[in-house]
Amino acid sequence: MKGVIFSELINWVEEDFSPALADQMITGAQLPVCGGYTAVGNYPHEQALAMLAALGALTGREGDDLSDAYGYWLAGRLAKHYPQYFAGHDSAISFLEAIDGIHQKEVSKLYPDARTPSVIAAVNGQDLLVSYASHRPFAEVAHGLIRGYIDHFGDNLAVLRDEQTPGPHAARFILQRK
Amino acid sequence: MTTQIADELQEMEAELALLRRRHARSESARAQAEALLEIKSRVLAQANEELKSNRELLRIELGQRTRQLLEAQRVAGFGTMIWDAETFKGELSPHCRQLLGIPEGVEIGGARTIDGPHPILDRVVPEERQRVFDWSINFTRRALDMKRHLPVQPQAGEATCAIERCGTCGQIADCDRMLEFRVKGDSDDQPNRMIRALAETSLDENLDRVLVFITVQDITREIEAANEADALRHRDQRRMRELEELAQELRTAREAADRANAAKTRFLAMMSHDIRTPMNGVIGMLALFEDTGLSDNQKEVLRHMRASGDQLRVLLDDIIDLEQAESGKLTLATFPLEVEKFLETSIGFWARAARDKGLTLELHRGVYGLPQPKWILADRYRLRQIVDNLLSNAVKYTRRGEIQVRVGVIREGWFRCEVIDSGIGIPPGRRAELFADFGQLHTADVEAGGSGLGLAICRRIVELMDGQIGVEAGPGGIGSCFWVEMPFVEVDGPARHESADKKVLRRPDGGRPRVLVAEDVETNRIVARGMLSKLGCDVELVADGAEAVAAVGAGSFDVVLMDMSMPVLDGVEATRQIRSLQGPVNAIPIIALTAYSRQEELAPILTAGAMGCVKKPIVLDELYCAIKALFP
Repeated sequence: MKGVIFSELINWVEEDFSPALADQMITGAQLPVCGGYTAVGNYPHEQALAMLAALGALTGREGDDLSDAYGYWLAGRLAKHYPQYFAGHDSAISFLEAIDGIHQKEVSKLYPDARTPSVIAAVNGQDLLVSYASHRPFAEVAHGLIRGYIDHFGDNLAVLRDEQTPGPHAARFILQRK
Repeated sequence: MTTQIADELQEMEAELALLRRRHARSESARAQAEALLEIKSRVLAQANEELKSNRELLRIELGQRTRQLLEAQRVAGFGTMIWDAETFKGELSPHCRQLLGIPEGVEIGGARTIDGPHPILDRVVPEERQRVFDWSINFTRRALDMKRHLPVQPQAGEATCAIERCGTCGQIADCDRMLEFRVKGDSDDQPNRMIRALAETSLDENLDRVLVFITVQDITREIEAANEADALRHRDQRRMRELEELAQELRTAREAADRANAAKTRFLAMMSHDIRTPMNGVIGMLALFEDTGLSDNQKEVLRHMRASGDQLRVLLDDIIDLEQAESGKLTLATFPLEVEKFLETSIGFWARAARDKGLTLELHRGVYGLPQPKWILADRYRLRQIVDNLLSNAVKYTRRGEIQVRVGVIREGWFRCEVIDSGIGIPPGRRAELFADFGQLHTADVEAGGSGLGLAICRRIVELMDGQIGVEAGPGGIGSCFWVEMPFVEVDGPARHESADKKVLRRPDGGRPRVLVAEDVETNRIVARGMLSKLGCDVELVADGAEAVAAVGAGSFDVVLMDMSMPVLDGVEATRQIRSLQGPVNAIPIIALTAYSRQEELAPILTAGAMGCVKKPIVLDELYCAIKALFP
């Protein structure tokens, strides 16, 4: 998994919690590389899971809750640092529809060995259905990302989790107008 | 205090430791990033090298392709030029410069104005300069118009043919894309050259510039070849007209000749009748004269007179036969013929003639080993004509020695007859001439005499019989061997055969036949009566057709001999009227008596009801056979 996910996770904890807690999280996660991540590198996703688990132990919060919160925070960071991917879109629906067709292809061009998750969006009447599937258990992070995009575009949408597809590897989200 | 300081120190150390760890993580991240950067740099450097290498390969290939293209242009005789429709700047291919006579280094493009120096227009002959300028300007303007009106924006480099792509202004006719003009020769003593230019437009890769592409080709030779072809075509047409005129003249001449020939045929037919009629009298009278108790000297004189008369008759028949053959009207009348008797009669006659000349004439039968048929189907008269011709020639052209006639069946259904003489012989190169019309050989050796028609008529008769006739050198190269081969059909002979010596006609009841002769010429009437009397007939004579009709109506005749040409009522009409009489007399047998020998001239009287025909001069045998055939 791309190093940006790891470095931003540490940045999030330092910003939203404290540098000391981030330090403790890294220490508690017993990482093999002392928590030094570069955005352009690739690292096993288990290290991110270990950090989130350590953060949960330190804060007493649920892992899903933390993953969701991290996703929400990450959406804002991506919009700030990678504005080119958001140009041309005026809503989260438009942006999410473009992920599978455009963004994933761009990622593949830059990182041919990257295994990107499958994110498929389809309009169903007034709603937008977003299906997430990945060999990595980050469905909650995806949920947070969707929420973050909705807020970024200022859409008046609610995100529901389809409970028939529970689990960290696959999830279906329904975006409904409020 | 100390505790407080110690706590602060501990806190600071913890914070320092935290910072150190953060720093260590940053350093670690930086080291990883640098390592990755190093890897990426190497990859980039390698990619850069590959790019440079590929670019060089492409440059080499581009050079090769360009050279190939230029070479292809040179070989094909094409040159190309291209200019920007808006800036008028452009370039020429080397072959294009060569074709137009523009040196390397002279910059080139479309002309904005007609006046002033311009590399291309200056090469055009003055009288066509304006036309070339107008064309290039119009095409360039229309190309720009077209770009503005294009219904579909083209891709870069895609040809934008006005005809296919411009839906709005679409006025650029295909022919406007082509222009032919003359350029001056390379020097004053060089002739002008004809150039064909074909224009096309295209957009550049950025889709903002309209480019005008023009291919040029030297079509001087093509034009010259076309002009030469035109000249040849005109010459051929002129020759064709001359030939047609000549053919027309020939047709006219041919028609005139055909008319003259037809007139000659009619003339010969008339002559035939006119000569045969008095001849009939002469020959007939001579025949009768023989029985009037003449002295030996008188008989000798008479014999010569009859021989001359016969010669005259044969000559006349030859001329008429030739006319018939020419007009394709020569026909055969086949009847059963007794072969042995025919040979004896025909050869015997010439054996006497040969003997009189001191020659020997021998007949050899069955020389090819196959049995000789007794009776065959044949035209006796025509067969006799062939034999007479060959043997009379043999006797005529042989001064001493012998003549051999070899006859036999050479293969199933085919006769061969050879007449071998020991005469002067025929040079091989001239043998074919013998069988041509009037083909008699002129030699100082022999006073040939005759019409020269005999062998020509023989050839035509033999061909009519599906046979062949020819001549070769005699045995040992001495004399000639004339040969005839023809097919035959063997038949059963008649049950009874009259003796040639006892030619007497009898009615079926044994009585003398009563014969009515209708003939306007008195001599002929006398001849007919004499011959019929000789054959044992009772004869009554009338002088025209009307008398004949009346006599038949009143009398009880067995046969009528009816002349065709008579005053008052001719033979044809008289025959028709007799057939219209009431009672059994209308069925009386009528034999036409005529000097006409042509088949179509006999047709009217045969159609009117005549049952047979006897030609004049009357030959006793023929008269006998004709009447005999009417009695069962």
